[in-house]
Amino acid sequence: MAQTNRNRLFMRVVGKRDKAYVRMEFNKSRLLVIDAQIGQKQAKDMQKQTLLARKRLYPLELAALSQADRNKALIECEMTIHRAKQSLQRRAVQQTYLRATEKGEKAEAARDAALNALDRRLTEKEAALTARYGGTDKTADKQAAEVYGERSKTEQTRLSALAEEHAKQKKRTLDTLGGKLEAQNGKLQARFREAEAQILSMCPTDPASFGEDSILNIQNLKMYFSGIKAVDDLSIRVRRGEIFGLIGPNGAGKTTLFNCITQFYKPKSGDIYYRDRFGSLVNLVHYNTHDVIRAGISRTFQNVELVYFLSVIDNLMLGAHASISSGLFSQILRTKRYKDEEAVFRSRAMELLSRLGIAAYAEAYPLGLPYGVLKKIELARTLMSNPRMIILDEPAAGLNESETEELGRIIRSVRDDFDCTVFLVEHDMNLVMGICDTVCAISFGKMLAVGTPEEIQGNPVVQEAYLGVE
Amino acid sequence: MANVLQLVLNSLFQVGVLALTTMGMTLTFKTVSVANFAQAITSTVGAFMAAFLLRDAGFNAWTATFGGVAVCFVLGYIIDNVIIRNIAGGSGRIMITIGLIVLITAAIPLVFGLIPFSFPRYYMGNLNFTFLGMELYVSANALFVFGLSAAVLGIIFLALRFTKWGLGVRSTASNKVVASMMGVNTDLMTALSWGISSACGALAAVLYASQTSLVSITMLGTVLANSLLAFIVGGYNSFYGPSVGAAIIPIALVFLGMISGLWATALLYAIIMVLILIKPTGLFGTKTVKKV
Amino acid sequence: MTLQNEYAELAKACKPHYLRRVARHPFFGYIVLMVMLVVVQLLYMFTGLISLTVSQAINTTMILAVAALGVGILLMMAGLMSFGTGAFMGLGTFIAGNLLKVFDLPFVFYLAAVALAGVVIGVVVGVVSLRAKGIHLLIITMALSGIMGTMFVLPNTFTGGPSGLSGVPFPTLIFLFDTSRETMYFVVLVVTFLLIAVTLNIINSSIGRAMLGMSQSESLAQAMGIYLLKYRVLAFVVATVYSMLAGALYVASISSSSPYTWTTALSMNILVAVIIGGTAKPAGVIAGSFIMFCLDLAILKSIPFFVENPTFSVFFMGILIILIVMKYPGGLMWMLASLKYRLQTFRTMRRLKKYGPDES
Repeated sequence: MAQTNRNRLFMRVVGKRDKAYVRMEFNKSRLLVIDAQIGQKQAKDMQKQTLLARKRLYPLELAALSQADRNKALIECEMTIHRAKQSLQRRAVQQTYLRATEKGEKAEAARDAALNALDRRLTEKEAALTARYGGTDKTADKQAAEVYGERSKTEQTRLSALAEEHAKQKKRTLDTLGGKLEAQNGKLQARFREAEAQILSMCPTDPASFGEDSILNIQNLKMYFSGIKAVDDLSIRVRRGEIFGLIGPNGAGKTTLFNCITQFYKPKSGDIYYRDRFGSLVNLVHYNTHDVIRAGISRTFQNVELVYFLSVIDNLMLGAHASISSGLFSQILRTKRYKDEEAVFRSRAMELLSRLGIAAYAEAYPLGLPYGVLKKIELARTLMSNPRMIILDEPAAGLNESETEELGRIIRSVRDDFDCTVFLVEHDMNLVMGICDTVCAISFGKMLAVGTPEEIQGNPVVQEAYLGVE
Repeated sequence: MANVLQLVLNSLFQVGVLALTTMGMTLTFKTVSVANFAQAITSTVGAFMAAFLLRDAGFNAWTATFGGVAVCFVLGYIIDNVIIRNIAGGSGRIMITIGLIVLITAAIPLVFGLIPFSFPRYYMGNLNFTFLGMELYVSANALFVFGLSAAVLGIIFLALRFTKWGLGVRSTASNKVVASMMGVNTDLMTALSWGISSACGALAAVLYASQTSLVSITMLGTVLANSLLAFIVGGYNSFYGPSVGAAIIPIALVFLGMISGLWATALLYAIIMVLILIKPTGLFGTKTVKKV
Repeated sequence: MTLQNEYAELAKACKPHYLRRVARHPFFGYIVLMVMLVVVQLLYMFTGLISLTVSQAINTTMILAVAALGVGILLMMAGLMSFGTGAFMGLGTFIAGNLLKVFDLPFVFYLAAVALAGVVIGVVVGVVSLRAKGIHLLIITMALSGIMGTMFVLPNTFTGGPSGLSGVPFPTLIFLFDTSRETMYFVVLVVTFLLIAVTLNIINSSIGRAMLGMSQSESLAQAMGIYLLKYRVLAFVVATVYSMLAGALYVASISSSSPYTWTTALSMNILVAVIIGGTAKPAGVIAGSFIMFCLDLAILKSIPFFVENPTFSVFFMGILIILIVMKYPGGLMWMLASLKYRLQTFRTMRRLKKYGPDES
């Protein structure tokens, strides 16, 4: 009983620390996003002002040209408009012709006549315009040119003054916000350190037995389903930064093991020690199912699980649910803080989508998208919570060969770029042997062998389990 | 002590009626997975029909009862065939039952007119007996109601256990898709379940009317509420649990009524809330392990 | 590219789209609706073009729409059903009515008190009944509303017994303005509008996404760090608070409350209104409420046939519900969306037929 209480206290302190961390992280990225937001707004404003200046200068510019040049410009402009107007009519003529030929009628003559009429109308127009803007005087008006030069200089200075003003404004806003955030972060940092010290003083296990470079250490895990031993006394160690593959015949207990790690099933006995992002050891068995993601473990599902009422980017935002630190009221009243937070994660989601090459689907709904895209969306969603360990449940199921190859590349690059460990269950031996650093084979809930892919391939016990005894 | 036993005996007919209604709810819930809130109102149609046959068509009480039950069987069968089957999804089906409540409540006065109906007792008089030196009596009709309900329930349970129909219903309840692949005519099974559940409800309504001699649109209101409670007390994912719940609730109400007549229902409700807090799946329900 | 063309493009780019931007604002439609309803009331007050029946029907409909907004979140976002809406509305009327009789404070305080009571009740009932999935909440709220219905009728001073609460004074606004039956209409509109804004915020925030995810797949939601009980209870609390606020608005604008109004039948009607709307978005919920309540109160009540045979109007509503659920299971909004899609396709097809394939 005392032990349970101690564990509960430990988890509470861990929760407090994680909350402080999430807030500090948000404060850091908030400044960047606000910077970008202001930049965007100011760029838009700049563009608008430039356009307005251009609009004001245009008549002066025309006046500064020589009569011939001016006339040419004006005629050309009106002709462009007329040509654009005619393009639709030409398409209609072509379409009528095609329909007629489909019916077997001869309509070439009619089409040519119609097109000729259109051409003729254009020529007439041009002639009329030339008549209107007559005059071929090549000398330019010097006075007008001077006026134009002066005015363009004034506009230039006005624009540069505006840019300066923008920069000042931006700096001011960022400085105020930065000061506020720094003060906040100071407080959070103190809270974080306090919790950290408490955690160190009540570490639940002996760090020596855990292993210096490991991230996950499963010890004597047991899981029964009404008498059937799905996982039987299994001990597994996963090193940090590796791609760990779990293989085994059907019914070997792979998915059960996954569900035990992510606490969908509570193991009957055994411990799952895990080193979280701050280096302290926690026992995942004490975690609630919905808290596991806060420890930095995020998972995908065997059959793709996406919310079909939400667009792809909102699905990714769902993945960031655990990282959003705004409270209920902040969300209900949609305060500035929550809006910023949403913007932070939205930009991150867009980044991830474009990394995986599916940014075009951001606003689409998942229903009806190709299976490979859905798998990528799921992978992107796991990355939204900034995980330390990703658990992939049969990522290549339902993918064809080239898609599987691409997936292998993506998994590797994700491991390298996001600094996380990958733990995967897979039936596709090519994928497992191709990308995994360590492979573990289990059968009927018991460990068969652990080692590099080559060792596993050559292991007679594994071969027997897969092919059966002769 | 004699007083208590007498009160329990008085609530016997309620146990019978409640168990029948709950059985009907269970059948539809297990096969179509919809809590049939229209159960009470479709049953009331049966009571009205029986009373109509008795008064206006000149049948005797037994034939009238049979007529009412048969009409309700057909009604249930039609509801499933025409409406429920054509709707996908859970909330839509519950909405349909609500729509049916609205529709049938309005339709009954249109069909049967506004003159009030009544239904006589099957048997008159009381049975007096002594038990452990206590003078007790039980109304003959109430005993008949209880006996008939128990018999019908027994038959349904036996049928569920031993007949081909029962196997079909149980397999449909367990997994509809697989059952239909295995050659079970799931459409027929659900339609029959609706029919039988409506018939059960109609029998309950007629029996209730015979005891209270009252036939009105709202006559089964409390019975429906109690049967829903029985449904969660017993655990709605088992076949027999709700029936046990139906036996518990009227008797619990008798005992709670002795504590405070006014607050009996509220107390019962509080107790059920605590029970659910402790065991969310009900007394006989089992927790299903979800597949991830 | 000539100067002139450049100029044309520049002009197009800096042309202000103020109207278009206003029209794109998420609240635009709701503001238009509110303005229309205000105009209706002004017409009733000053010209008599609109009858009292219609004005009162709209008032009642808006109050019920407030409750329906909460039910919409509960049903369409969290996938849960409650039959307690009517009873909670009743409780809201009695709490607010008694407070109004005793204290003379600005209306906001009553709303806050009622909302607080709603939070407490919602949390208690929700925590008990939402630990297991399934029809628990439905059945428990149904039993609860039955019990509350009988308790409202018991003779006591809180609910006024069978005759109900009457003679509730109209509230004051911000200590200054006294209201009347006519002006409460505007107060109801303002509160409704604020609650619409809150609803939109909930739908578009992390809370809304969590609820949707939860209603579709519980394991997914748990893996994403969503505490199921918390969000289920939250949805239920929102529904309870909304319905109790609706009760407070009801008693303040009608100044009486009969215990026989707050039955399960009312809860069912509100549920049906949400289903007819087919979405948690306020647009759908309000459209559903207007069909469900305003159609009956304002239009059917002014047709002599239905006034003489009230059962026929109920019968008609029953058939309407069944037909809508059968033919358009996605509700009105789904119907509109599919109509819009059809229109778009029709236009595209016509353009392609006349002009041939688009030049890219």
